[in-house]
Amino acid sequence: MANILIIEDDAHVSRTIRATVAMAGHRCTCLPDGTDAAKKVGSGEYDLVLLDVMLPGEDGFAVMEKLREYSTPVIFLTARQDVQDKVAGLRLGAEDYIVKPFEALELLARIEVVLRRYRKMEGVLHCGDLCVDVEKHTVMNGRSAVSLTPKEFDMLVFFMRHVDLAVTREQLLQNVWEYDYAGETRTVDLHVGQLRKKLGLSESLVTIPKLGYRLETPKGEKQG
Amino acid sequence: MKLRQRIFLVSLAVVLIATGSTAAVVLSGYYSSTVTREEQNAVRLHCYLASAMEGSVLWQRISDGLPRLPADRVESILQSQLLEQNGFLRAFYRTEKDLSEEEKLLFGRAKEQDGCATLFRDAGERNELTVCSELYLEGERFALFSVTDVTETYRQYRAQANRGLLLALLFALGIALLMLVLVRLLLRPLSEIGEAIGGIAGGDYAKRLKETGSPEFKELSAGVNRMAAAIEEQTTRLQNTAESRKRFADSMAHEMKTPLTSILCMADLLRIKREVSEDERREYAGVIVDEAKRMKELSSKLLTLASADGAALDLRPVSVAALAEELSATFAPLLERRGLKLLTAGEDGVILADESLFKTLLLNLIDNAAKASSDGQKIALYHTRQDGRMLIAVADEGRGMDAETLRHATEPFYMADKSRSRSEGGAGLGLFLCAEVAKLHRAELSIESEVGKGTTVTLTIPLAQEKEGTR
Repeated sequence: MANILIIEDDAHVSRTIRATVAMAGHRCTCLPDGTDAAKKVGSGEYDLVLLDVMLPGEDGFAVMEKLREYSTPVIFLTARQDVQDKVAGLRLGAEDYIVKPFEALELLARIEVVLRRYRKMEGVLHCGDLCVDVEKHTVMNGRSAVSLTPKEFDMLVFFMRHVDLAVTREQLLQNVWEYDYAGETRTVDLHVGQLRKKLGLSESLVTIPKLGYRLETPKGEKQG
Repeated sequence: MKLRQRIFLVSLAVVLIATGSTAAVVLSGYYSSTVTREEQNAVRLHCYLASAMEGSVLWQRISDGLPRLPADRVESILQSQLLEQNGFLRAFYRTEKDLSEEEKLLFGRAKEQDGCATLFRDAGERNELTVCSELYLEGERFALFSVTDVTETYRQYRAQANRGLLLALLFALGIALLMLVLVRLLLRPLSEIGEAIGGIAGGDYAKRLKETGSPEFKELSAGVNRMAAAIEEQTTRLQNTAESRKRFADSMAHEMKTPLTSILCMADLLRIKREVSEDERREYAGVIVDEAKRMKELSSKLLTLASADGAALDLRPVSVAALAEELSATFAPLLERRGLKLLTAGEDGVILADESLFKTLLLNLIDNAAKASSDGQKIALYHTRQDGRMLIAVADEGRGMDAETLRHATEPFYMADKSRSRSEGGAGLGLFLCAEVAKLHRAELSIESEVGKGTTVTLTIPLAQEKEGTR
């Protein structure tokens, strides 16, 4: 999938991010500071940069200045949540601004939004017999086309992008319905029921108690 | 009303009253003497007239050779006498029965005084002075009146009074204008000071006044400058405090959120992944445990800081030797396990200290020394009296610090080597905490260090009074 450059001084956070993006199938390289950032990004082999703001030596904003000339998208990671900081980061041309601490899936979802904006995500997703073409908005189950409502389609795409990962109802609401409101989870359950019925996913779209749902790859098949 | 307007009006009024009243007094004095002179002249003329009449009548009687002139004869003589008088003096006589009320009154006064009576009268556009006296001629009683025209004297007086008043007015106006200009000139520094104070109030605390002009203004300017300097100093101090607070808060947010990020993210991975391999489980859990420990360390340091900050100290006499022994007893075995030796030595002394906080301070110093040391090295804790103060030093033979690190050593969240500090569970708060606790005990904390040779941290704290005894 995508090749991501991580610039983060804390070794543990670096490892955490690496583990998280690896889970979604991305490759990544870690740098402890911004010294070599411009050179690495200049080589053009990276699709996305995750940049910590509080770095030893030059801070993330200074590093961002140097990265501006390249078209590689940058997401800031920071412990500070001042609005001014956020504005400063975005004004420098960052694509997004993620405040620490964050959950794994939140990080992945936001990485995907940026990658999608830059069309660096795969346009056709596979899982078992299912095949979704995001561009053409079509869903094939084996050989037969299935018609879905827009919300059902978005939801399926979200599951397909996070195959084998547990997704909470709140995350679905946030990413598919795009609102930050934990409470309307019945809507999610209804749509999941529809997906199961239309696509015959009662086996692979499983309910995880107290958490949410997970789209699983059929047994014996390894997704990569 | 502005001050200079008020000064202008008050001085105008004062000068006006002063010049006006002076002019009035001078003029009235002048006038009364003129009037007296006029009156005397008139009386003299009147007397001359009277005696001339008497003389004429006497002369006529003698030349006629009569013992008494008949009344009509006297009348004609008087008539002829009166005709001789020229314009400015008119005289006439009357027998008593012919007199008007006013003339009767005047005549009465003349009889009373047995001489001349005078009266000033306004007669239309003219002013007249009437003199009256009694005249006995040939057994007959006459009243003699003479009228002098004094219009000219009055006119002059009035003209002079008007001129005087006008002069006084002009003079007052001139003086007041002069005052206005003077006051404006004198008060100009005041408006400059006012402007400067406005500037200072508007936030320009670096603004200073020129200390020039009269002593009063110099004093005022100096006072304003002192005030501005004090405000500047205070605001700078406040700004510094606010900035260091903000830095502290920022650093703390960073130091807390960094381990939280790893914990939250790794825990989330463990939760949402369908299959977690044994290696992954161990890696994720390892990170979570390490970071949780870091948070624990950080929170205990922050708690100590919070208890040291603001809370009243429980100051009691503490024996330093006893404290050192206690620390040695608890710490030496732990250090020995890491291959380090803790030595304690020195004189005893009693200091006033909050025991648990002070113990934390020394523990932190020993812990720092242990972290800097490597296998087989010694850490010394010695204490001695010097000039009425207690000297407590923690020395190690470890890796030491360079000058740059030494300068920042007591700043909160400063870490010379982040990855090493974190792997040892440090949060960058240890020495900052020590410095804060030392400050609370009015103790001085000084650090000497050389790269490769070791570090010595020395605490200098005042001794408690002996009579208070030991614990």
